Amino acid sequence: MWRAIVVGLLLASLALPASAADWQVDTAHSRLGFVGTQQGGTFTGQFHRWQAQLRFDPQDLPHSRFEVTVEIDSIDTGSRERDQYLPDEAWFAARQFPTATFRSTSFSARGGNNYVAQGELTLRGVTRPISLPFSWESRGGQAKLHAETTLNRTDFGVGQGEFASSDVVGRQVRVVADLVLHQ
Amino acid sequence: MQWRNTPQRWGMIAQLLHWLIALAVFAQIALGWIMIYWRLSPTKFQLYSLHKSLGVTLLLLVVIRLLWRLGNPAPPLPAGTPSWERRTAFLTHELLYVLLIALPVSGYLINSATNFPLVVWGVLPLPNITGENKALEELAEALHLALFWLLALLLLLHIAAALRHHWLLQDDVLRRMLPARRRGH
Repeated sequence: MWRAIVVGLLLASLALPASAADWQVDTAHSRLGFVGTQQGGTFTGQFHRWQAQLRFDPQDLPHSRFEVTVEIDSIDTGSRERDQYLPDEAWFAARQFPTATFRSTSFSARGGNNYVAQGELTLRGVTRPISLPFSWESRGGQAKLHAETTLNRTDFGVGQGEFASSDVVGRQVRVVADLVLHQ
Repeated sequence: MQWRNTPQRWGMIAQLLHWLIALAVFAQIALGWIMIYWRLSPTKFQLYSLHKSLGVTLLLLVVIRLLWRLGNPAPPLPAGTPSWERRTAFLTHELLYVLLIALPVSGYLINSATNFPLVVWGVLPLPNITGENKALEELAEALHLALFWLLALLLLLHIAAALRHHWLLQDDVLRRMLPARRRGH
């Protein structure tokens, strides 16, 4: 029994060799948020619980990889009144789809500190390719990642039925990630 | 056209403000009632927005009305009015003004404590005056509702008194708040 586990762990560690490009998220200083609009005003939100496995090396883009999992019910838009509706069927359907994930498929350099991660975002059970532009600054064992992209919430069915219209809640949502990383 | 108040009548400006505010208050009461019971839908949010925009507009109208009144004393009550009636009328009117200020302000407080954006008539963004605060939101809601019931009570009294003057006492207390008809006396 124990041998099987040890062998399994050894095999697993071989399959995913620890790389110099693996980064740990400093959750206390990192933020995964978004900016939405409601009836002509803007509001900012964030997710309090999410995990990110990041392997990134500007010199080795082919082996770089992002995998981010977000717990939908950790959403916080600064208004409990609003937050109570968001896990509903009409919005994120959090009971049925408790997490959203982003998995990168490829990376490209855009000059300077700028890169783009191509990948797939799964949100409310819908998987679509998205591109995530980000800037990357690393010094020593520390790195800062700033990513921003705009999503159309209705591409993922967030806001069903009458709420798919932009009358009350805008369709465009700007997703902003500010991560502090260390090795 | 008499714009300013005279000892006999309310001027056109005072009348216009009185009736505009009366119309807005009744619209607010209807909207407030409907929006609460409306099913959760975009329309519900739009009804709330309408109520908030109209509320801010109402507050502005009341402030203008009070400023106008500073330079335009109210026409005095008929000479024989008993003093308890004078006191009651004075108190009712003062309290109505207070409520017409306090209701929009308590509504603004609810919106602020909820941390919803407020864009008046979809054009003028107003900043929230407090941070998100559930306890304050509930307090402001209870206050808004209590003030509404007080307003409803005073409006009944106000309307009943106006009709009493018109039909029972047959004086011109109600008529002087209406546009003048050309009369041959």
